[in-house]
Amino acid sequence: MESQGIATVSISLLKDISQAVGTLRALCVPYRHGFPLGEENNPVLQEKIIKQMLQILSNGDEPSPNFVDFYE
Amino acid sequence: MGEFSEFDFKTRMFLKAYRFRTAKQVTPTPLKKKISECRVGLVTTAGLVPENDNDFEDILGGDPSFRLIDSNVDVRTLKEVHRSQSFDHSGVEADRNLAFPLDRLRKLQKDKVIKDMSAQHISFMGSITTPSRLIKTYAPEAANSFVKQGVDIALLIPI
Repeated sequence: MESQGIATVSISLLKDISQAVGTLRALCVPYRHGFPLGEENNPVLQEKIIKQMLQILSNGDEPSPNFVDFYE
Repeated sequence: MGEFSEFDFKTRMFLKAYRFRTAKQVTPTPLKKKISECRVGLVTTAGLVPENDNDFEDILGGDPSFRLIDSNVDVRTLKEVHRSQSFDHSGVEADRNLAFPLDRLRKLQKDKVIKDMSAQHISFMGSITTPSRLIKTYAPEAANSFVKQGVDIALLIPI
């Protein structure tokens, strides 16, 4: 997708593996597998996570790879 | 952060021994528009399937295919058919938005945080241990789907 002009940003649940597979941008969240957006039926938290994913993309000049920790 | 310790012994040993493929390195695409001008698409690996579509198959090496999910779907109608037993499925069973936040994107569109969503989003089932067909065929097809839909940003949600 990146090579075709689509900017991507991922959730990372295991930072070591995300880095090993070459993820370019990721929001590192403190949640276990099965719960990438934190908690079921918690729209406030889920929306906050998505907004921080989008924020990574709008930060302009960035390191590569760009891994950012989620802040609650 | 997820931890290796949350997995059972067999899964931990598998993850320790598995030789992960590294994505071909590309220069990150910078965002050329404001977020509020962008079309956003979702990609999940939660194994979600539209109710009238075929389930992912439980095959050796994993099913590398994907499903397209319409933007106007009621997420509660999506089937959750991920084959892996190494994670707790209860969250996504209760709320598909946990791994496929379509309702969240709808609100972001309504609030003008984003311009809009792609007409269709993408669902894979993870646990693909032999990713050749994914890399050569299905991932490029999924990417082309987003290119044709004019997607600016893809949010990648693993399970």
